[in-house]
Amino acid sequence: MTRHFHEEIQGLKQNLLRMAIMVEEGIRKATEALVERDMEKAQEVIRREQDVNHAEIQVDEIGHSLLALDQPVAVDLRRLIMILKINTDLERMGDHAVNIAQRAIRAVKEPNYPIDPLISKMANASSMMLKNALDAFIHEDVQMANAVLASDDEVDQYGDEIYEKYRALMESEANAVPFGVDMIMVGYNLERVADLASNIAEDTIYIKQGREVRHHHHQPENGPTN
Amino acid sequence: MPSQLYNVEESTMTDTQTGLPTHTDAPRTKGQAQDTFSKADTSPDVCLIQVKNYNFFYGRQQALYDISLDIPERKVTAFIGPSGCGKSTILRSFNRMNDLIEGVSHTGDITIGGQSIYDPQLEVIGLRRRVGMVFQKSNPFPKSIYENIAYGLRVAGENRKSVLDDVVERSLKSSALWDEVKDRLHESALALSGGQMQRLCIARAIANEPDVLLMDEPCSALDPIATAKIEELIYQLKRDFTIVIVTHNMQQAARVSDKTAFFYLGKLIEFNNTKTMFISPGKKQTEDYITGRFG
Repeated sequence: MTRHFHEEIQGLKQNLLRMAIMVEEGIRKATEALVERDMEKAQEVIRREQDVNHAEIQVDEIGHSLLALDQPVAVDLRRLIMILKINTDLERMGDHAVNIAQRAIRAVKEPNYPIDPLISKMANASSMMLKNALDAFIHEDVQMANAVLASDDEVDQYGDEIYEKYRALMESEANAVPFGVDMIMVGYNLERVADLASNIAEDTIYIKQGREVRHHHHQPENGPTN
Repeated sequence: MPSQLYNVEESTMTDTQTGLPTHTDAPRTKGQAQDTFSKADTSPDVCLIQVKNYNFFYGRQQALYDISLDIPERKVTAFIGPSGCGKSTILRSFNRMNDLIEGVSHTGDITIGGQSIYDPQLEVIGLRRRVGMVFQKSNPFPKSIYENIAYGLRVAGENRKSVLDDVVERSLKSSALWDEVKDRLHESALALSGGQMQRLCIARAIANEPDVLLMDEPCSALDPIATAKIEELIYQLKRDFTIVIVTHNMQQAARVSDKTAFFYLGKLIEFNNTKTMFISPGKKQTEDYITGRFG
């Protein structure tokens, strides 16, 4: 028996993925704007934030209706709650893209200080984590989700290196402090994107297996057995 | 052109004379696309059943107080409320089933498609053909599955086998029962499971192509799986029929309906979109009831 609830959940998932594509594009363009010192591209990211915000509210409203009206249980409940949680995470990632874009605009006015290639590398690694986390979520693939969780260390490593580089710059040149702080904050934004991508991976494991893996909390798999 | 909504005594009456909206003559559109992303059908409401300042009495006992509400066409409207609130009374008014009880009376009016159901020219049997009903306890005739559905048409004078075959198949398919019974159409309907019997009763009701389908606690005697099948069926049937359902089960009202009316002590407390009703109701009394704080 097909239930219309399942079709509606599938539709909601599609809405969420459309939002995810906007967020992925925002992060990519914000980083490009920074590296290329492209004011127009940075402003475009800031302008498009409202599309992400609108999508977040839409997903929330539909999700709340489904919760209230269809009273899902078991995997249906886990899936719906995780969709709502991922929705919040994606919106927050959109905010990080805007933060990076705002720092990109300031960087245009500081052409003498270098934008370290590590920032591009870190942005690529964070974006890849997000892409893989979303793939894991779409296919509800636990193996893929675990791989995403394992890749977080690489992003953290980049973050540490960026911090050290710009700290050294600021120590050597007082005028570089505002720029250095901005670059460290870009590293922080990208690290948060990766952390939120990890959340999506953890949520995927929870949907599929009903197993809590957040905060290194490893529960045995307790999903239904045949 | 004779009215298709009711059998009126003057068969030469025109639509203009009866005031019936032309949509009653429009062909039914099967399988209209639904908005995948929203719970409720968002198409604009077209009122089919209008209740106007309706009061109802069992003898001296008043059961309904000044009820006014517009029930939209081809949507599911649920009536909820505690026992004795009047929800079944108003449902049974729509096809004048209450007339069978001695000593009942009413004031105010109910119109369907613009025509009063209390119009002296109206034939009550014709009304009940256009306003089908499914009861709490399934009540198939002690006949074959086929005859249960064909019976109404035979009574109306239709005996052509090809027509009956077609209606039986179409009705069973529409009620999601065809696949389960197509190989035993001539076996007794009483051998079916409870859930199948209830779907047979729905098939029997829709065989007459009614405009309205009334359901009085249609799932209360069924297990959860059979209930889920009926609920899914209700969701599908609203593409073709205007459905009004009375249910004790608030969660069921939330799952199946587009509009919900909350009755308490014979009064209509709130009538709203189901989504609004269950997420942010307009009246505190409604919120208290649906959250289990009273009733």
